Amino acid sequence: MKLQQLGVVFIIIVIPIALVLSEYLSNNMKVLDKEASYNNILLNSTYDAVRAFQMNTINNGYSTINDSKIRDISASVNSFYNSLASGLGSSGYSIQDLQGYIPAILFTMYDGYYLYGDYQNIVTIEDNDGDGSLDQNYSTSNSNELKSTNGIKPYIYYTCEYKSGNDFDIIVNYTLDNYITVMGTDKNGNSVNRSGYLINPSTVTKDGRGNIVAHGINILPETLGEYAIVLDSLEGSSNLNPANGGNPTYYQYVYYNHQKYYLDTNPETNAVSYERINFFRLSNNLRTYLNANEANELARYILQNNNATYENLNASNFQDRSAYKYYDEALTFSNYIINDLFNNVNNLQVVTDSYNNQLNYTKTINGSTVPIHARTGYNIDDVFKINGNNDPEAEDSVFNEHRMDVIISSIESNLMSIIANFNIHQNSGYEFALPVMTEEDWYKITNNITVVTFMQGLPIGNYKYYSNYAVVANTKNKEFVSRDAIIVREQESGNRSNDINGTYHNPRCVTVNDENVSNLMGYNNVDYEQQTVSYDINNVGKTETKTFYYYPHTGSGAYECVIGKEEMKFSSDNLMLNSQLETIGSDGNVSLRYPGNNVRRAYVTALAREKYNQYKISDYFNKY
Amino acid sequence: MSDTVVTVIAIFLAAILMFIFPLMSTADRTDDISTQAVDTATTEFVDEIRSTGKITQDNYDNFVQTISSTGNSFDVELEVQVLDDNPGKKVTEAEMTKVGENYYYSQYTSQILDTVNSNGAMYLKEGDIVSVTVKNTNRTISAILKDFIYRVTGNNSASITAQHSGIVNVNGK
Repeated sequence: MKLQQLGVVFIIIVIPIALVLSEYLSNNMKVLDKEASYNNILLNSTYDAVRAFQMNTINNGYSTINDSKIRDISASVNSFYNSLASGLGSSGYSIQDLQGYIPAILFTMYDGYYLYGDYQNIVTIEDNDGDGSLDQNYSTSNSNELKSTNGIKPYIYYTCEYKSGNDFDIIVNYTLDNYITVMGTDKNGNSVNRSGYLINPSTVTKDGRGNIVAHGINILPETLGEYAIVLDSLEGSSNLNPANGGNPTYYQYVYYNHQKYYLDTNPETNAVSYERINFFRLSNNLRTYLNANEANELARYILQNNNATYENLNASNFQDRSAYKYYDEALTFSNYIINDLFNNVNNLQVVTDSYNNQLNYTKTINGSTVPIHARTGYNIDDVFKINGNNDPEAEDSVFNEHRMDVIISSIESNLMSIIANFNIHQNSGYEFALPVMTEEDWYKITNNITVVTFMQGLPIGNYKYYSNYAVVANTKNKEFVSRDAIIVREQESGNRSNDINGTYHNPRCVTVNDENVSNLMGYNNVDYEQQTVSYDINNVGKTETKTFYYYPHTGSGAYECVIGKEEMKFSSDNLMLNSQLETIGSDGNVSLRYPGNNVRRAYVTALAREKYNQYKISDYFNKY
Repeated sequence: MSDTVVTVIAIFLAAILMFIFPLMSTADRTDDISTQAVDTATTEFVDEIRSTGKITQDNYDNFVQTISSTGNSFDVELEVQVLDDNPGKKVTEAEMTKVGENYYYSQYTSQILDTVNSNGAMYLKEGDIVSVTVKNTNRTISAILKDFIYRVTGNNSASITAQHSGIVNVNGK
């Protein structure tokens, strides 16, 4: 063969290979690009869902009440779908199309979770006979006629049941922190239902005179205050009237029964509800003054004196006792759990199925097969043996590990079934299944209020289908006060033009710990968010809506810790346990420093106060 | 005489077709694969920052290691746009969530890495924007060959690039 011919043969062989290879690769790149853009859209839409939930809850005084919560979640689901549809809009997907690709949305809350998914609706409510009243239709006969609907399924608590011996049978409901509820029968066969914060009792001391020292901090009543724009309903007027011309006014307040009660030094004497008693609470931003009975009850609680009346209250003794109550009640509860309920109870058996049936679901890491979520080897008996090594408030305690395992096993088994059930209602040919979630994502889910969305089955080319999930944590909410939720600033004076120049800091900031100003106060980060007050006024037959904005705590965020975060070097454990921070200076020398004692006082007290006042459904167990 | 000319041309063509074309095509594919790997790694790195709210030394090192494993050297540019909601607070009637009323200031690679080095992590907050641009600094075989044949690429052009950015979803802690 001549050289020319050889050349031609070579070209004939090589060119198709090169073409196919480049085509295949460019196809693969497109798939990857598409997958990345879907990931991005899913993450953004999930973030939008979280934002919608935040905006609805921050401005809603009743956001922690259950039916209000369901409404907020439905709104959050809607904004997720809207955002997803507009993100994928150019690909031609509408909201209805998308529902076939979203097998589940998970909303984890403080003490349980909601699942949004599809289910068969066997009861439809409509007006059959046209008589104006609604009728329920049960369609059980022909399953083909059953419609599948998307909706929120009933709330599921993070729960686990333990048995030991003949009588001991206790159900423990867990939460995102160390708050637990115990129900069932104890070892003597007596029924039990109590709830409270489980702490290590040796970190808190209570002396004979009732003084409490927690983590080395003397827990005292605090004078709290915030700015607010409030509305009044005035006599002889159908319109609502903003107090102080719609300017934010500083009010002292205390928490009582999870509600804020304000002290009013400049009452609206013309207000419908005003009975010459200068205390009010807010319902939908409307000032509702207390009557004598309520005010006396408040005075008895604040002054801790059964004979006190509201006339005994004044600006200097109108102080909040929540932080004290937190440690007091946690101490009693923890002593009961440790020294009574779980004392001498051995061979605890978990009887909750979802916990025992560890899912037969594995992933391969470096050639070895491991379960999706690996539990560390601990003995169930040790979970409720609280001591310095097992402090429920610490991250690495056995209690905390077990708490996370309980939450994960429950979520995992329910998610698995809801996603698998999705196959029944879809005829897409794609097999929906729970994707493998990383340990970091589980950590995020078990320690935050989160929204987790799943998107599967979208064709992305090259005969591949998209399958992924997004986890977004919600760090600004009223549901759950985490260790990182406290922001500190100097006590406000009530003079707005001065207060507005103040600066607020993250307590982990080095600057604020070095300055260590004495009058620091800590508040929940939600109270530094913008609040909205809107109301309707009738203006010559037309209804107009007026809106005011204000910040409950004024001033600006410090650039080194709230806006940027360069100086946020202390950890929350440094603050809680008064441990030293190691810093390496520019000269290479290691220096150690303690957190400022005033910052610690503000942080520890505020965290206890805000946790105590978080709304908890199981709280009523403690009210006999 | 003419036969000799044809043979010379044929040899010349054959050399191009049999050596340079396959070489270029292979080198191109290698670059494509590298681009793909770098693109994926960049997206993952940025998404990780967005969903955890922090840039850690660990993540950054992993990222640099992943992209270097393609056999090229890279220039990694980080930028964080920090949301400053203080100016919005000074205006009474302003609504912070409104588009266009947000104020950002930027921090770049060296500032970010300084913070990461001294604290072990740089924390971000919800609403900040993070963006990462990666381009190679060496000259890949594909670029050298292209340069040799048709000199369209200048000396500074990078052939492997990736860019990804997004808004941070969560307060880092």
